[in-house]
Amino acid sequence: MSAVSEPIDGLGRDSTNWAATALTAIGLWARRYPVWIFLAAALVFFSLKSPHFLSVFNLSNILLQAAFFGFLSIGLTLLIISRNIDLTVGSVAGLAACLAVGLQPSLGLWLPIAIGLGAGLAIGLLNGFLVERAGIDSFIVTLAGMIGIKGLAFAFAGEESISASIDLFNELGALRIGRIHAIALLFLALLAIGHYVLKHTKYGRETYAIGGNRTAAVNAGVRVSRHVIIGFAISGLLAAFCGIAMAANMGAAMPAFGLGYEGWAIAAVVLGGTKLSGGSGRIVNTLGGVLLLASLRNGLNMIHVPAYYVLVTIGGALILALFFDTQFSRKPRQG
Amino acid sequence: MRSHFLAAIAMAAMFVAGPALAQDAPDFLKAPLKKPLKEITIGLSFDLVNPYGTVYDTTFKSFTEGLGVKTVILDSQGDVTRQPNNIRDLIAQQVDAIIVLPSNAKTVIPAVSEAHAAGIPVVISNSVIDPAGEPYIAAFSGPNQYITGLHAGELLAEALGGKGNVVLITGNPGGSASIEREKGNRDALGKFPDIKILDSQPSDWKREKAQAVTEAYISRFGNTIDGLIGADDGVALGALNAIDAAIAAGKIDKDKIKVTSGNVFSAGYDAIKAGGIYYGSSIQAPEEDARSAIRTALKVIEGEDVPKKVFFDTPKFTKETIDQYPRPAI
Repeated sequence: MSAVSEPIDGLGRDSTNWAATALTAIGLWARRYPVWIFLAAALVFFSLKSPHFLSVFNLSNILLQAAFFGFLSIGLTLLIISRNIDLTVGSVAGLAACLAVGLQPSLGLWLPIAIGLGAGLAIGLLNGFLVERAGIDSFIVTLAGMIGIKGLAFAFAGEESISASIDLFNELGALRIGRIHAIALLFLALLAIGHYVLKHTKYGRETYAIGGNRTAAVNAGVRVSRHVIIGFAISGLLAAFCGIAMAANMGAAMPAFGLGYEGWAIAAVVLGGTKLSGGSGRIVNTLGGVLLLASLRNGLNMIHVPAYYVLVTIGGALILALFFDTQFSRKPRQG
Repeated sequence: MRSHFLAAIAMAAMFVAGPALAQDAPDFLKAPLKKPLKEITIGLSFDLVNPYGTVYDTTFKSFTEGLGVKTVILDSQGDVTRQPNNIRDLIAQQVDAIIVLPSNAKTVIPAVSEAHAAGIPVVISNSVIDPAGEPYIAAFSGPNQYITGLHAGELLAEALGGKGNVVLITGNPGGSASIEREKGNRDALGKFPDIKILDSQPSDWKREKAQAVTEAYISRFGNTIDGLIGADDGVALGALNAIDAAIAAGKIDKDKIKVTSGNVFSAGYDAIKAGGIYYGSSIQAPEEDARSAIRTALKVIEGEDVPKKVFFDTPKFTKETIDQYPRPAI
């Protein structure tokens, strides 16, 4: 070995230095976005603890469970970056599910789906108008909406579940492409679109600008109100999408669908490193947060942790992750 | 020396294995077992949200522990969208059978069909799955709603001495439990030519609605009503409210009407024990519910023939015999 001279790459750096540079890059990236480290650690831990965790069936299972609240977290990432919040998403999912299924006997398959999506869009627009035009804080607007829309869903559907009466609806919900659920692929596709919008479009750049400094954005000529209203509309539409996907996957709908999902979706966004103070965040890292939460729920089930402790553990993990996040993200600024 | 040592080990092993083997075949299973109980894992998917669930859970753990069967218990905490995910988590762990207490009769169907497709038998426990899901299940284990209906009819006939005018308050129209119980009511009462059924109205299993239905019955039939059957305890207690109010208002005579019901919870248990209008009902014990589901699942795993519907005992009782049965937890 000693006879071989030091290998030099095209840029004139030796390979040990090159590897060190790569490691430093990964280290920096991991510091900025620790969610992927947490996800990797969770995957390693659970696969060592349970022989079934890494099976194809289970990974596809995790992806499906992630997809449902994942739909919500896409819209929420946009809104949170622009320094808003949408708590109505879980309730909207329940209402859209009930509309899409409950109207099937009279209107067929596609029209009720369109009505469900339309309801999500309309509620999103209403949220946006109340926030921007009436000037009420988005937390208050959507907190009220969360309660009111749940009531609306119960008024429409009652407490009983409604069966989907059209077989194609259930078949679409159960559809798999290869071993992966079509719903999970749809989630990934929408996530990719969200990523593209944030990173490569004017709308995306303006989102960061508004969240970073709203006044500056206004002065720079960004049509802030219009922008935020569109953000809420996207969030409402995605929430309706989530509810309809759940209904298709379960072949039935209930107003209780989506209950508490806003919490999971927001947690995923925050775990992904998006700050509630706005102006920064990446949708790819929201994916990391979504996958981390779904893996924790599934993995803790796999190693037989009782349900209440699953919630306690996930709550604890959330605090821990955010603690590390603040520690890591502070360092570059201090150093 | 060495062979002696091995022989000693072998004998010791036989000594240890002997009683273990004898334990391995509980009386409800046919020996020899195809799969030793120690190698069996049963998954349970349910909601631990009420006292019935708590007792079911405790019994489930102690009964399987006694048999040496392993379990994976996943609680969906009343979240209907969580249960299908939990069932999928059980499929992923390749348990030998899954016992499901449906939090909703319809929303569990796709996940149950996935278990079926993965070759894992599903036993539905406590309350039935929607008929569309029946092809995917190995068996249902739970109370026999027809029998509890029959008991309510028999008890009322006994209370009335075999003659009189009766009104029924059922559960929800079209619901299987409600239909079966009403059928039982009518079959039991039909044996008595001097008993006449005046009317039957649904309550949607709601206490308030049962009270309103009873008020309407009293306005229509007044003192001619001798007996009333409530589909379950809540329905009977709603009816009792209306009857007590009518007695207080002097609309009907005191102690004339007798009431029975399909099953009791603690409130009805106390009312029957106190004596009076509420004459009798049937006990549905969560302990027996859990044991029946486990026995059924083990039979399925061991490849025994199991009827599609397995019913556990729901004994009827009155004030005279109530002390034989513990007070329900709910």
